[in-house]
Amino acid sequence: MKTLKTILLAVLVLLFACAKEAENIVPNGAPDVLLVQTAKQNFDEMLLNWKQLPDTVSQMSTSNDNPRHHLAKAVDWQKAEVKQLTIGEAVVVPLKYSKELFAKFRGSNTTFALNNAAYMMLYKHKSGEWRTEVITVVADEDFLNGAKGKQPFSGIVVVEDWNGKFIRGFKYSGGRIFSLSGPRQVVEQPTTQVQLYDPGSCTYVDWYSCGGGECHYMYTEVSCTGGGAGGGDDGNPGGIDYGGPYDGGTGGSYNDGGVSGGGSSYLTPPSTDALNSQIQSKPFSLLGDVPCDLITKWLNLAAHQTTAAQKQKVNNIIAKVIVMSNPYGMPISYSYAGQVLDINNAYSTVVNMDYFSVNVTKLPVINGQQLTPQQLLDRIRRDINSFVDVSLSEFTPYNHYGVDDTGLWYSSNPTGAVVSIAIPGNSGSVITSSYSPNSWTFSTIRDPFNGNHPVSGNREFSYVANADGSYTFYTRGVDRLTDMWGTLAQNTTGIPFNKADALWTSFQTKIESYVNHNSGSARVGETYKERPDWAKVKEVMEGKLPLSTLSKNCLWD
Amino acid sequence: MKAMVSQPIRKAGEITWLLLILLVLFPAFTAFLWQVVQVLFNADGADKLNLERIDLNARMTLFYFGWSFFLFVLLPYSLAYRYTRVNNWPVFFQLLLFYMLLLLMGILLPYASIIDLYNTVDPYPRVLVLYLLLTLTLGPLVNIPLRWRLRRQSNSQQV
Repeated sequence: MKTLKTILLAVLVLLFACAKEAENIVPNGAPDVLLVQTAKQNFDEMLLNWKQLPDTVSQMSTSNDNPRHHLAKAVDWQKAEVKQLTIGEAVVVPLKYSKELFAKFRGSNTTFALNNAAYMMLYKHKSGEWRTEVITVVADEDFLNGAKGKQPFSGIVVVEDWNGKFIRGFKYSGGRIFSLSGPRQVVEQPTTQVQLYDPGSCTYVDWYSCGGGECHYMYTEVSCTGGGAGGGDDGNPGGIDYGGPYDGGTGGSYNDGGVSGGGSSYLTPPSTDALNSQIQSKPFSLLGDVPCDLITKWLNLAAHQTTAAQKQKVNNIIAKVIVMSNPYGMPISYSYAGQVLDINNAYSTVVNMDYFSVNVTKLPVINGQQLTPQQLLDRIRRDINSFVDVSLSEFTPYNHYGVDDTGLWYSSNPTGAVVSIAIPGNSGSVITSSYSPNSWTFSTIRDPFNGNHPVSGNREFSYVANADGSYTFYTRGVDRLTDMWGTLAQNTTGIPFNKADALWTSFQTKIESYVNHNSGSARVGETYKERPDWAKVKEVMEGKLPLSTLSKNCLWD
Repeated sequence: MKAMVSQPIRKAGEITWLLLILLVLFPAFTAFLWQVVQVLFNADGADKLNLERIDLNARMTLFYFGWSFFLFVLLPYSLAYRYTRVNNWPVFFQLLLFYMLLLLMGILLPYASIIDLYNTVDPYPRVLVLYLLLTLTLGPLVNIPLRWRLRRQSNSQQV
C-alpha cells in the first residue's frame, strides 16, 4: 500500500507540475463540433426535466440547503471543448454564475472566485445515457500560496449534478487523496465556539458574497472524509468582514484588511483530465468508480441481521413429511423446517450488489390528492405486483403450513411478514426483517413450500429526499447465490442474477410509468449492478481491507 | 467399407442434430415464441418483441426447463417414432402426438417446464398457443434426424 501511495504521489506531482495545463480549468482539447452539439442537445433536454431552484442567495431555507446551488448558472458553449478521457470523450464547458461568490478555507487568509473554480463536464456513461456534472475545485491556502507548479494540488474537489446534488468529492492533502463522504453539510457560521463536525476529518470552506467594495460572510460548507461527526472546539471567530475594495478581477485574492492579487487568475486547480487521471491511476478497485456512499450502504445492508424472533418464526414454519420407505412398512416422518438464509453461508464466491433507482420530481396525484413519498412507498409495498414484471416474480403473502401472513403484510407495520415469491424455475420466500414508514427490508429464507430462495441476503426498498425537492425511490440488494445449483446456473447462463436485474429494471420502469400516468413526474435513475468477490467484500466489512479496495471513490478512506 | 465408415458418422450427425434441438433450438424457439404469444395476447403490457427478454427466457429455458422437455417430450417422442408405427403416421398425427406430450409435460410439471415461464396460476390459453407454435416449428425439425435414423437402419438391413 505504501508503494502505491508513493507511486500515486509521484503521479500527482508530475500532473500538477505541468503548470500550463493546470492553469486552465477548461483543458485545451480539439473541439469536436458534433459531440458538443450532441452534448448541448442532451443538456437542454435534461434541463427541461429539472426543476430550477430559485435564483437567490439571500435565503437559506434549511440547514442543508446550499445557497451556491440557488445561483443561476450560464453555460458558455462557445468555449466548450472536447477532451479524450479514460472514460471516453467528454465535453468540458466553463460556467458563469449569476452572482460572484468567494471561497476561503476556514483559518486561511486567501480567497478566490467561484467562477474560476467551477466548470461543467458532460460525457456519455457506459449505460448509454449522458451525464452532466458540475465540478467545483477549491484550492487551499498551501496550494495557492505555494510555489506554482512545484507542489501537488491541495484542496477539495466536489462533483455535483446540475442542481447541486452531491455525486462525489475528494480532498487533496499532502499528496494524498481522500474521498469526501456523502452530501456536504451547509451551516451558518457558528456564533458559539462549539464545533459541530470533527475538525480532524472535516474541512470548512466559508463562502462570501462581495459587492460595493465589501465582502460579507454567507455560509459555510463542511466536507468530511469518512463521514464521522464529533465534538471539538473551533477557535475561529465568526463574521469576518473583508475591508478594501474588490477590483472586479476574477480570481482575486482577498486578505483580512485588503486586497492582494486580483485581476488574472492565479488559481491552479487540476484539470478535468488530471482529476480523472488521478482517479483512474488507482491501480486496483473491485467496483471501479461506484460512489463510496453507496458502497458503505451496501456493506451495512450485507451486515443487516434478522431478529431472534424473526428467526424463530421462520424456524417454526415446518412441514412434516411421512414416508413408508423402510422394509417393515413402518412410517417414518421427518420435518422440513424453515430457516433464515445467511449471506455468510451461501455457496457462490461472488456477491451481487445492486441499486436500482427512480427519480421522482413530482409525486403522483391519486384521487385528487398528491401522495407523500411515504404514501407512494406504502402503495408500492402493498401493491408490489403492479410495480414489477410478474412473469419474473410474483409476490404473495405467505399462507402455508399454518402460517398466514396476509393480514400482517397488508398492515401498517409488516415487520416479520413472510412473503412468497413465485420465480420461474426457482421460487423462494422472504421475511420482512425491518420496516419503517420510509423503508423496508426483505431477508431471504428457506421454507417448506418454496425451498431455498435462490439467493441469500437482504434487499432494501426505500426513498431519499434530494436537495432540489425531488425524491429518489430505490431498491438496493446484497446477496449471494444460495446453492450449487444456482451458482452453476449463474456460471452457465447468467441466471439468476440477470433475471433479478430484469425484475428490478421492470420495478424502475413501472414506478416511472405509474408516477407519470398519475400527474407526477419521474424518470428512471441510476442503476448499479456489481458482482465482486465476496471474500474481498467480507474483508472490507471486517476492516481487514480499506474501503478503497472496492471503489476508486473510496480513496484511502 | 463405405457403409461401415459412413454409418457412425451419420449416427453422430443424428445425435448432434438432436442435441442442437435440445440445447439451442428448443430454448431459442421457446423464448422467441413466448414473446410472440405475449404480444399476441397483449399480456403484461407486451406490445413489441423484447430482445433482452427473449435472451433471458432462452437461458432460463435451457437451464431450468431443458431437462423436462428432454424427459417428457423429446425422449418419448423419439422412442415412439423409432419403436412404434408413429413413423408411418401422417405428419398431422405425428405433430398431434408432439403437442400432446408438451401438454402432458405442462400438466405433470407446472413448476419445472416451460409453462412456468408464465409464472402465473392461470397460464391458459396462452401456453396452449405456445405449445402449438412449438409443435409447428420444432416438431418437423425433430422428425428429420429420426427419419434419417430409420432410413439408415432400413438401408443397413437391405445391405
